[in-house]
Amino acid sequence: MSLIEIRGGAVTYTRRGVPFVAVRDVDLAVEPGDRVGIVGGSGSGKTTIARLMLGLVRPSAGDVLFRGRSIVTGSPDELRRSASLVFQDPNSSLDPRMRVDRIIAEPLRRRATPVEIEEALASVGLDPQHARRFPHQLSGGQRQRVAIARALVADPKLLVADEPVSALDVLVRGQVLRLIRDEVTSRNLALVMISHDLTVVRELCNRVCVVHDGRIVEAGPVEDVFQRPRDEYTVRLLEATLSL
Amino acid sequence: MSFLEVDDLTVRFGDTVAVDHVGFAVEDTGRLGIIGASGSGKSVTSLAIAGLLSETARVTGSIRLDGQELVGLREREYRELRGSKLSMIFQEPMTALDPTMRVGRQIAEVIALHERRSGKRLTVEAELARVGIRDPQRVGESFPHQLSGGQRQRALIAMAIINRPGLVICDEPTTALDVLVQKQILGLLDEVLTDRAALFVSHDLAVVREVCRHIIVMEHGRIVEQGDVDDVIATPEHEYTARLVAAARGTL
Amino acid sequence: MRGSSLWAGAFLIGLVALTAGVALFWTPFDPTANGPLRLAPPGWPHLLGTDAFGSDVLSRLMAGAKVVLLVGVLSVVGAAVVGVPVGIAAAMLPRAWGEIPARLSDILYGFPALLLAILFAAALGGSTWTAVMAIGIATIPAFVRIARAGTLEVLSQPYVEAAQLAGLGPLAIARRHVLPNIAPLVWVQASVSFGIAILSEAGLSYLGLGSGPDSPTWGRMLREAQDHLFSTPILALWPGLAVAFATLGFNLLGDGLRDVLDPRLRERA
Repeated sequence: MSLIEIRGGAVTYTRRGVPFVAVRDVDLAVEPGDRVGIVGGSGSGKTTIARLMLGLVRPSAGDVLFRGRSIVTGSPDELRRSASLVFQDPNSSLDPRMRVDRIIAEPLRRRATPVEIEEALASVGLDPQHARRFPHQLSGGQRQRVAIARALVADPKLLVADEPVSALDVLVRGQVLRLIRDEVTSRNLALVMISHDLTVVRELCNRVCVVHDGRIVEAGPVEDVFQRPRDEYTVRLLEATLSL
Repeated sequence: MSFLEVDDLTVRFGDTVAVDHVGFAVEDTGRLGIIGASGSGKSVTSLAIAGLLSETARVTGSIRLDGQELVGLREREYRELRGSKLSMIFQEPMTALDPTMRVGRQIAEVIALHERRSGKRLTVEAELARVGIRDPQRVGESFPHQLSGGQRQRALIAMAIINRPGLVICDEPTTALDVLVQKQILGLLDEVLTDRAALFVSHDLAVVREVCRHIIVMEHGRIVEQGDVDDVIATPEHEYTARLVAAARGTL
Repeated sequence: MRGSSLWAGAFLIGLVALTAGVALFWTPFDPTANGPLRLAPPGWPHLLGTDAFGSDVLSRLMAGAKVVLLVGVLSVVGAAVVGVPVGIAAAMLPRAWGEIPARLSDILYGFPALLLAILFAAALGGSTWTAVMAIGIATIPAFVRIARAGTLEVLSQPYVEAAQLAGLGPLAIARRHVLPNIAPLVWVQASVSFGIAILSEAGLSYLGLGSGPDSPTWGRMLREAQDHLFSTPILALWPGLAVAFATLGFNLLGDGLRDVLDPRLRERA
């Protein structure tokens, strides 16, 4: 059984009374231990797919199943215990008025012991002394590490990362990506990586979905899609990607 | 004499030295890429040239644009200069445009300033068309939030070249855009910068290589390496440059 | 400079509070007793002089401080206790439900404190409590608005989404994330409202709709001073200054507290 599955998912927003289809006909299944990249330009709907998967938006059509049970008609509680999200901008995803230890402990829904906090910090390569800091006292990379520690503290089975390094300094990106890769491997997590950067997906994922205009236009193993793209949009994305 | 000559430029904020004895020159149709991670001093350098640093900054050394010394210039004189000889394109087109004003009106304001100075008549539509906007009338009547990121950045580029400046400073002009739009904007910049001098500030070597041949690499406010972009990428001399190259390759 | 507004505000409000505290037990003269010496200039034994009824101005000012604190604190605290939760709820409830408290508060916004006070005074008679209730109720919409706007802003932040994903319910999110993050807005609103409350109280007692004649208030003193504005202008000066300083004190205190409560601003020294 798939860990999480979107079946014929569609999301419609209303923008000033006018309905606007963000994504439609999305079929996507993530197996335990799967590492799926979702790539596309801005406004393609890739973030909406992640939010749909986590029950943060309601589908206007279709269904989202967690371990075979609908989180649309049923409760998303079990999903929320097993899935977590790392946001693009660590400045706004950490409450500026909370200290690091309280931020990290939030998914535990109880008071964390100092040892637990220390272990959580150590697992993302942060010193225990960071526990009593506020987010603004940390660098961008350290903040994203705190966000990753929060995402991992409750032992999830699925980690969704929405452009986790695009707001970070170029020299820090590699460190944070390596951290995500190592944690995903050692904890055997399923990973969904949303990115407009194909190099990131190539490094971290085994499967990729290309999203364009709210639809998945191409999906398959990373090497197949990148070596032999079939969709014209994928070809354009690959051509536009600058690398050295 | 080069069009832009920066000599021994130092910028201090209190006790912190953001730019440390930096010097370079750009010919009147030359382009220079400034590469560095955040905090390297690359943006402060470009803001110092544009005269956009806050009052807490202490600037020493020399910046000569077309023979005119810019260090120590009064704000009023700088404003005159920014209207005629130099302009700047920023990273985030959403915040660089006034969200409550139609794009066409913002462009018309710049045109009005320029016409007062040069006497030449320009139209909003023609200026938008120059930067490859296909539907200039509709874009001109739109508010910034109604446009895509690429259209907004095109509108800003249009505003930056209305006064036909001799020097255009681009500070991470494609960082906020996705790869497809980035490619288009880089192509556009390559075109509009043809007959002017340009500074191109970025953390991304792959992006800079698209528009510049010559680059300088900055770390801790100093120039640590410079040369032809392909040479620097192929054989980085400085350890810091090597890390930037590795980051741009994207291998973990 | 940092922290100076907090201390200046605390000093001014401390002075008012101290005066009110002392006035509970002791004033130089009986503030309500009429004396033979009328409209006396400042001197000895009447340090700030006497009013048209021969009462000691300093004693009346001190006694008035009690009323000011009572009306100001009770009305503003009451309005915040009602208004902030309503504002948060208005922002967090599903759209249709959230509209109800928001619109009700907009309707209330249309009634000035004066009108409410006239209504209450007509029903209950003018008293300090009439003033507290009228000013308090008239102040509620300000807190509803500020809390609602602040909450909407906080709710749009990714850290709220992260909390949702962590399994927190709406009450926990309101307590852990919304309240601490809108607190600075509420503080500033409270300090502004406090100043307005003091002025409103002065206005209401000036019109005879607030505290009765037996309790001297700064507003009543101002009204009485008006009759002698041209012969003895100094009579209006004292209560006027008192109102100005108390209002200033609360505004400074509000600004200072906002800075101290924000961990980001606390650092920058």
